[in-house]
Amino acid sequence: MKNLRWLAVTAVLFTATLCVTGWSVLKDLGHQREWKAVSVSGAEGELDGIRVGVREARAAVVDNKPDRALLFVRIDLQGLQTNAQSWVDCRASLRSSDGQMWLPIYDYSIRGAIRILASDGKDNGDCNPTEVTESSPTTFDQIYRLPASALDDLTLRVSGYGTRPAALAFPLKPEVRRFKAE
Amino acid sequence: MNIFGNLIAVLLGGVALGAMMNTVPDYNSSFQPFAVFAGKDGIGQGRQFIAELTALKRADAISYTRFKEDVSRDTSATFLVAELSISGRSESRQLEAIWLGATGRQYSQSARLEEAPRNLSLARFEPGLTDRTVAIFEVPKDEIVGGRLALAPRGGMVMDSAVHFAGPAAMPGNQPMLRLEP
Repeated sequence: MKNLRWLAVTAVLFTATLCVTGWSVLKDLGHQREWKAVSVSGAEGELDGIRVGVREARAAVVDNKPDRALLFVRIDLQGLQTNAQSWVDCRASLRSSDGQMWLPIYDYSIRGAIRILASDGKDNGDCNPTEVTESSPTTFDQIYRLPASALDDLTLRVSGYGTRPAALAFPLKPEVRRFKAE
Repeated sequence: MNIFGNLIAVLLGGVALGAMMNTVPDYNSSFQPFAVFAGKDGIGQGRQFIAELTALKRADAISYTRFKEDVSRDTSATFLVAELSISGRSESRQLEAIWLGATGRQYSQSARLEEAPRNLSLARFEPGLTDRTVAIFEVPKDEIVGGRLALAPRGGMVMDSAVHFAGPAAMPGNQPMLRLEP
């Protein structure tokens, strides 16, 4: 009977240790994953007090490499500074229906393509919540490299470290422009 | 008998504790990715990428063009150039390569050639796209035969996989000057 009591105490302490360590690890993982992505039917949605809008989505396919595309996406964010600070960072990723994920390219040699694809020929820089204001929408431009075959079925997910695992999911139907190689 | 029994139990406990202390994984081995070995066709499949080793070349010097200027680098050892073809699988990822020499030493990619065209250090691999890349090492000649190439995702490698490619059975032919093209 005494041994059983010790075994029970050991089992309870073991379970408690698992729960305490497991909870913090699960929370860390939740800040990386987007398990609670909310589908947005239109071009605007709100997440943790920040309004997010998708303004442009335009892809470029060059005829000498027709299997791949560069996709330019313009989004804008608006909201209180305190809400923007709670986002910590901003991740705008593309998803296919089978779970593949493309992240924005930060290479300056490729960012030149944004000026070619944007309607106003400007590059407003990567998504950054510290620049978000309440008075007017702040525009950000992202560019991605992905297979041309993926352009038909894409979702744009926008989230911040502080919002995850919650994220906004926008269906994306980019306009495709075809270019001839020089 | 009771004292003898207790003594045996304490001794067995000591032996078990000693065995556990000697077999517990250290920090480095705990944080190593799982090794996946490429097949005889030179193709290896990691969790996040598929890679093919297409060629291993050896050279005394390497040249390439950067910003319309010719750049050349030589070495007191030998340049080992691994030509690879890599496809991303689930998400955009950067990779790192290590040459595991025949003597057991590990060689990182040469930092002096980071700006060479298609260098793995600056490349990022996207799901659904296959790209050519090169990993360049500076190694002593006796590290090549019997060594192997390891490719792993950069950053968090815990619970991830590294693809290992067997090194050459014979010393690759030496080129006095190897030209790297975009």
